[in-house]
Amino acid sequence: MNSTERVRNAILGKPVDRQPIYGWVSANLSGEITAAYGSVGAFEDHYEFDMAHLFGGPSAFRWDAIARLRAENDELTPDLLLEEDIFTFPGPFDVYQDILHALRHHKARARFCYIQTPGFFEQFNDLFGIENQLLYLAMYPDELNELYRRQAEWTVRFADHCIDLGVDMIHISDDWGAQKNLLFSPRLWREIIYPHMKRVVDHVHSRGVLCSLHSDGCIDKVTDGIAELGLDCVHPWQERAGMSYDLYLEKYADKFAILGGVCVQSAIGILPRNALEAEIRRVFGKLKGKRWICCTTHFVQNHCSIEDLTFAYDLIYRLARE
Amino acid sequence: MSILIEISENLQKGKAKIVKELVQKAVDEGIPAETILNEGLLSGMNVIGEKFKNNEVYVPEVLVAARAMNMGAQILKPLLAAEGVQSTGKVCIGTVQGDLHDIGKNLVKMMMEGKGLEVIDLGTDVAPETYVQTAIEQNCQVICCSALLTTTMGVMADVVKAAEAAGVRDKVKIMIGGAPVTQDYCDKIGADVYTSDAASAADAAVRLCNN
Repeated sequence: MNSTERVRNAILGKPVDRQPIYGWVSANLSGEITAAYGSVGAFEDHYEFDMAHLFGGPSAFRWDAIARLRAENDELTPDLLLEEDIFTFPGPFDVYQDILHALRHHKARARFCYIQTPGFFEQFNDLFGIENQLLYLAMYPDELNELYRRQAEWTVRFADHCIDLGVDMIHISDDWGAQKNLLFSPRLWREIIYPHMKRVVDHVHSRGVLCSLHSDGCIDKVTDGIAELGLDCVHPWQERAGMSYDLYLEKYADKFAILGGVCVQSAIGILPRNALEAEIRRVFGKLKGKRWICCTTHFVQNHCSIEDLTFAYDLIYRLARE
Repeated sequence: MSILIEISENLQKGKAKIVKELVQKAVDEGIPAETILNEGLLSGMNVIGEKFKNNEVYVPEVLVAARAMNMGAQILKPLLAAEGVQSTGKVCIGTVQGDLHDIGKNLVKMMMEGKGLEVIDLGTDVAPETYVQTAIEQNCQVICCSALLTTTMGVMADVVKAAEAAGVRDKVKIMIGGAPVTQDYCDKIGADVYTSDAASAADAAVRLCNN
């Protein structure tokens, strides 16, 4: 069983030959990893990572049109954006070269490759800022609903391009959770996020490819909806934000997989080694073999030493093979 | 329905324009600004704060209510000053050095203002010395520090140390909060109060200012 088969099976709840592993390690520690291992790629090879998280492709927005709107108006509100065609067509293929290059590298290692694309809330945070967009959700729900619909059409075309290139999963990154609750109401989520998310998930599935979600924070009030969407995998299922593993195992493990388990907010880079080992063993004890891919809950932060990172992944590597 | 109740209820619905009109009408009717503030605007914001604490409303509803409160408060501000009305207390707030996340800090600020506190917003990326200097110069009873990142929460300990070094630790209370922050961490660094949400932070700040 190669890595792609292993991860795909784990996501679909089918038997695997061993626990698949991965980690968001590069963003803050690439210098330290390169100094210790030669490159981030060498680190990924050393620990036989089963997945690859790809980024790249075109910007969704026509920033020239947006700059003009900003110049003409005191405040860039959702109603103004409806009057313009602000979305790019997600092509041509030459802007996908970075993705293609990464795919060649990781597919040579038979890794399962997933490409990240912004979800609806996250995409428009770039334009409005998160606080303004949250305000606009109360003031302009209909206008945002229409913008999210247009965003979904862009995402579908972007996904098509990536699927043609050979990615295994489309990963929609859309932070809906705060530390203790959703950022916005489940009713609003159902009305103006769900329909557009459904459009994307159904389209991706129609192409025979898996679809996953990243959302930090506590999203327990919409997990039934996530299951209804047919999403195949959720990252990170943040236990520290109240997302119980027991709840996942009881209610959702027959519906989707989770990617995560190694908490960057309370474990790796935070705990002393004996406590970190106990924590990693606890998570393996609870989730191993249960539709789970071991991964960090977000990018490992730069207060994690290379020694602690190595310690954690030596242990993860071993536990995955026990 | 009393106009003050109307102000409160429209504020809770985020009807900023109506709140502004009603506040002006209340002023024209001769209701003291302090009464309009306390029984209209702050009363409405208190309801929103409680509902937020109980997870009955979400961030958008808080933001839109705070916007309505600010519209009404703009009318009252000069009148309150003329009446010699004092705030409940004075707080300086900021996101700690190295951290640019401000939505949590802004929510706490809104909730505190909704309790009648005067809040000096230091913004984001605030150095420990800036909190302490501001507290000394502006006679703040409370310093309030926010952090979203595990990489920046350590600065909160530096704020406590800076207050000690400046000799004002017994005069100013230090509150901390943010996603990675815990009560254990608060105890470890010697801060005074940790709260896990914005509404509780505002309640705690009022208590600290009144002690």
